[in-house]
Amino acid sequence: MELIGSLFLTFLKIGAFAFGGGFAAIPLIQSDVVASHAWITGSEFADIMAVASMTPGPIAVNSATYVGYKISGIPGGIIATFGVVLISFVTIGIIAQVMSKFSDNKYVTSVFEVLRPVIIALIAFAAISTGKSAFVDYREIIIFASAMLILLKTKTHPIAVITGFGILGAIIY
Amino acid sequence: MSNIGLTTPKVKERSKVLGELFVTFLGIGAFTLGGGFAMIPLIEKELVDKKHWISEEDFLDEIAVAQSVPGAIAVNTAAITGHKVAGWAGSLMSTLGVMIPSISIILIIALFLTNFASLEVAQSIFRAIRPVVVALIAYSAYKCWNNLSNSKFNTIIEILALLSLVIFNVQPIYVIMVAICFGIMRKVKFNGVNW
Repeated sequence: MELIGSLFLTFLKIGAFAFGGGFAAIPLIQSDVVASHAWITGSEFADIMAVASMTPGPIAVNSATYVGYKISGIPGGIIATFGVVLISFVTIGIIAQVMSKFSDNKYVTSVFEVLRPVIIALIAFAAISTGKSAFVDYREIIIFASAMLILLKTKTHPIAVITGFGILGAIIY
Repeated sequence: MSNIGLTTPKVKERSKVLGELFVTFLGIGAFTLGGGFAMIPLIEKELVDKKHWISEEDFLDEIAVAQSVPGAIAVNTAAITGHKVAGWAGSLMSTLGVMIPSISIILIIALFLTNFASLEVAQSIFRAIRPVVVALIAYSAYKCWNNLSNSKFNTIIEILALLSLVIFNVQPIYVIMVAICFGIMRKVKFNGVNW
């Protein structure tokens, strides 16, 4: 019971400080779960990260579930996951309510006017940084270019694009 | 920003919307590989294009909030979208929806497939999907940029933000904080004049 409580608090803290999404959570998980609590070893942590990045869903959620499960089974997995999302869930709800109340406020309007182009830069930056590790040889460039063409020129659902290339990957690699 | 909430008084209608939110985000969660940004085109297709629950401009504001708050971007985006469509209950349904596929998949792997990451077929699929994820994110950037007006103001901010991220390696959260401060400051009057 004490372990479950400590697991919950640890992931609550990780969720509260992971600014910028899952990749910001990785060093936090490492320092808390591996270094200070020693719940899992460094090599187990590396395995968990590999699985978390290869499976669908946010990397912070995936790693919380996996680490929690390793430490104390299915309840551990669920408690850790609950902990990692709780703070953001509550914060988001409060901001959404404040936003709807003050939507005509000149400061709020002005902040969003500045944030919109900033977010576009952030998304472009995310494309650049994921691109750096995704290209191994010419085949990845061909996959990227054809996926881009399909998305831009046809109305194909993104899920169909992901599934199609996933099947292709199982065949060609 | 307008928050329509759910104005219809019909309980049946409301539970239908909640159910749809849950199922929609269940689907989105099952296919969100490579982090929250890759899910942007999925959410846009489902909620902006198909169901018309949120407008293109509100959607960009939601991503801005999801980015500014700690935690997984996919979860934050689901929570705020759900909140916009149907308040706290909507937020809960979409957050649960987006998380359930990843929790189940991770537990199945932890229980039965501990060697998952070294499976050849998993590695092959993953290798092919990674460039697709890059394409999805690049496509989101293009679409959002296309939807925002190409004013001088927007273009200058886009360039400044991108330069600080790419060239000067500034952490995204600091770029956001500077943007928020600038947004407030430019409306503050000094001696009765905007600066």
